Amino acid sequence: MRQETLQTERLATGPAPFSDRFAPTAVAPRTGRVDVIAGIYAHSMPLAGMTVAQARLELEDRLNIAPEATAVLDGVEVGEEDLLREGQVLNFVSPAGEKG
Amino acid sequence: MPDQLLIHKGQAVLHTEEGLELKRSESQLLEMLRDEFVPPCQIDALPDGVKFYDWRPPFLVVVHQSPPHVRQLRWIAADSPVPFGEGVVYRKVRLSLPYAVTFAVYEQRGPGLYLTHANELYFRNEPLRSRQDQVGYPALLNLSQVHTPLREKAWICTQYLEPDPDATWTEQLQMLLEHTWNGGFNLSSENHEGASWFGLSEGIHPDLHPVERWEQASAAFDAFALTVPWKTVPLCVADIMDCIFEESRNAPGARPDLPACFLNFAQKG
Repeated sequence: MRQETLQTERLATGPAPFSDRFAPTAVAPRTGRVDVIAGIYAHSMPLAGMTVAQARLELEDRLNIAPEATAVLDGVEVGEEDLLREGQVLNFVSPAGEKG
Repeated sequence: MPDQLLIHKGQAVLHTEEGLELKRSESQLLEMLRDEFVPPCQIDALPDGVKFYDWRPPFLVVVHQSPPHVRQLRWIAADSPVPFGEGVVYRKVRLSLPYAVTFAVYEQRGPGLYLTHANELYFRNEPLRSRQDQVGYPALLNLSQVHTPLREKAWICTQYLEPDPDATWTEQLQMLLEHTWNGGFNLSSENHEGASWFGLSEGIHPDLHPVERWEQASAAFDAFALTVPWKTVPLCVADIMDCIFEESRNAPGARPDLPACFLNFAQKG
């Protein structure tokens, strides 16, 4: 029987280490990873299930996130109590005025 | 007779055409060459996403790649009373973006590296794998079309990016990316440089213009941006880096020759 893993129509912005997303299993392995993009940083991290506030606390030093940065999940602003789900892209957006 | 640099028995000896003779040890010559070829940024770890860099004193060009994702941007509203500057009305748009390739250009002044105003941004639908890879023009406002004798570039205006004299080169890169992506997108390029690459990309895909169509396409498919045939830059990454150095008036041909470098070095110390 042919087994296929269907990729969802989402951007996976960082490979999960040591995993093969196209491995011939009926169910894609769950990694619990969320892609975090903040300035120069773009990391895939096991943050699924955390709130935005918990993730911010976890990452503020490591990724140099400004306290006033707004959390944006899959391109939509979210509150600090929103839960992160696997495969989402979390952005921390600092206010930056305007461009000339 | 032109200047001559001789290396013999552990000594580097320069004879200038004016009759000057300067001697330094071979190890001092190697120290000088090291400064010529190793950028002054070795203390800091390379930031995530830095794919290539090239150092041709006093300029450092860093090529940074951001992964594709859906991002919220502040985009000029259709009913904004002014096209740019004070009073622009923005609205938030949610756009699918491809790989974004930033060319950050630094100049060494004293011991420090400082971001110049010659930075550029391009799009690409696959990750960079080689300096021979090509990139596409970024369909974004405020990414200006600038003609140079060598090419058409996609220039990031950093007029309002406040420099921090104490920031490291990696912190400056962070500031450039935040300014580029988080600063409001308006019609400044159209009014100052003649065109932005958003306007110039009209027609390359039916779902890119106006920006509302791009939003709809992004809502339907996160990876929409990776299906857009961005206008191709007819240069590869290595060529763009060469052009940046040349435009910074530091092309390889314009650099002082080795005896001249040695003369400078020997006279300093």
